[in-house]
Amino acid sequence: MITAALTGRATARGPNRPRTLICTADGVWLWPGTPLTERRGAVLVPIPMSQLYQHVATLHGPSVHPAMLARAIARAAAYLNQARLQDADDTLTAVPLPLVSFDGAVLMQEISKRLGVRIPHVAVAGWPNNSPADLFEQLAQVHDRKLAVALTLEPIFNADLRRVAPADAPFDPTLHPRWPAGQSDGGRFRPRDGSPIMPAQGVGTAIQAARQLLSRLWPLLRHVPKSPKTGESGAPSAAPLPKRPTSEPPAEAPKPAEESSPGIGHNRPPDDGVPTRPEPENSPRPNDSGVVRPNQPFKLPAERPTGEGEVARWGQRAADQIREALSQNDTRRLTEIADALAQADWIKDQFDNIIAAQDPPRSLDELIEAAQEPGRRRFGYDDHHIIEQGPQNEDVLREIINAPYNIARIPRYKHWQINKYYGEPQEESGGLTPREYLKNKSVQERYAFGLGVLRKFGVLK
Amino acid sequence: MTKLDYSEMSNEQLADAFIEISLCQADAIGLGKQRKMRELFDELRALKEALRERGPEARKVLVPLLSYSPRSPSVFKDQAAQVRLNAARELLAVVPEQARATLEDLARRGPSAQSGRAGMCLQFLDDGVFKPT
Repeated sequence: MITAALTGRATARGPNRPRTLICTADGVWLWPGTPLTERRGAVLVPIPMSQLYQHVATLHGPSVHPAMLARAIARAAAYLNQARLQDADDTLTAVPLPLVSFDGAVLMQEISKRLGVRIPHVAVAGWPNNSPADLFEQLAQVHDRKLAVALTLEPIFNADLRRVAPADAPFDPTLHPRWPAGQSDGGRFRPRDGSPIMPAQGVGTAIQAARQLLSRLWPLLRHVPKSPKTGESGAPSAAPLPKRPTSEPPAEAPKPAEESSPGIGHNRPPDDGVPTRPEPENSPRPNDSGVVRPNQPFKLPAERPTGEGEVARWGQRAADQIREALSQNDTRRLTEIADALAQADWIKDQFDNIIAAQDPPRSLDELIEAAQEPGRRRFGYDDHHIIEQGPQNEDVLREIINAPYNIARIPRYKHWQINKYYGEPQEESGGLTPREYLKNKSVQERYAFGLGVLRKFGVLK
Repeated sequence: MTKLDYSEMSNEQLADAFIEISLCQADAIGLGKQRKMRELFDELRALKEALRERGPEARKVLVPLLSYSPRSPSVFKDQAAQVRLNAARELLAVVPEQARATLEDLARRGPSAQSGRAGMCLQFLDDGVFKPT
């Protein structure tokens, strides 16, 4: 909630003060997630003074001193370049900004409603002008693209949310849902979804699911998500996440293979006769990365696929797409994927597997220790035997198969991939499956092979 | 997959069939259908044999498949990657640098199923176990 203009001053100073300016290792930010710095090579620099002023004055009014603001942001950026986060934060604390203007406060409320992020408890000054209400709505739309950044930064702008959140996890809005800002109890915690009481502003469960998924994905990014360009005059995204109706199925969802007409990608053998050439445009492209249709939206079937293994396959496709988006720090793509996943109820039981599949390769010690955690199974993970269990290794002592050094806890999808690989004939092993290939190898060779497989499937460093 | 008389097909038709089998392989891998994987492996071997009998030049009909990247929305990344993977394996003795580069690219950033398989293929190669012909 916003402190009424009656108080005339901010409620506190110090690290837990309310704030519209914060910093992370990746830059200086204005609420809800407007970057005030940009990277030039390895160095953070302030954005141009005119843009700085434009952004900050939108919230704090026209009396912001541009030169003073620019100096402060430059100083904070310099500290960040030296990895002196606390000094940068202190610099921002000391910026003598005017109080948030009345119009700025209305805009913050509008943004908060659209993004579902909490407004910092800042002081407000001034009086309303004659700006039409829909103007604020239009201005707020510009911030739709910042949803990812805003969710990430929300606990930093709101120190009390930081206390609610686990120390090592971002605040999860679905675990601690609040009534939307702009109503009498706005910002207060509300019952979780599933309760008969629904928020007055009606944020759909699909949106909530997308946010829950996103909140688990952001920490996997190597940096704070890339923000939109600092010049914000562009049109807002055509379909901002909070506005999307929950009942809307993904557009043009690909049919499950069983429902598709025979052709490329179906799961049935071709009819008798010569298969027709599926695609005419397979011209060689030396630098092609193998990425198919990079700009195609990620879509899932609207209905649960009925074929055996289909749900998990879609989950693995989603995991692959997320991995690619994470590697490119592409938050727009991540949001799109999370949105598509959230719209498909049938895939929700795969979320843990999808998240676990994003694990980076780990050391053997880490994988083995994880498997030895007493009495704790983790969703999305399986215990994998490096020398497999089963008749193919019946000549190996059980003590070896079940020894701690032979059991690694790995992401479930990776486990499935590896199991499938072991059972599939390979050209490079003379047409034998890896299980058959290993049959007459020594225990040491089988173990070394198992480690190699873990490495090549991205599990082991 | 129905057994086809590959000896009657043109090189281009064999390339088409190669794509078709590879796409089905990706499906079988994705859905964990082991028996199907074996059938498709045998099918692909028969096709490759037919192509090999026509000499090394004939195999070059598969070179474009190293960068297989169709625009069709019905082809998914894992399927396209399987085409590239199979083509690379088959072309290691024909265009070794291109084929190896494709395997390395898939291993580095391919979909997880094909990435792992490409990585293992490279390991077999580097260990000297796999000697492409």
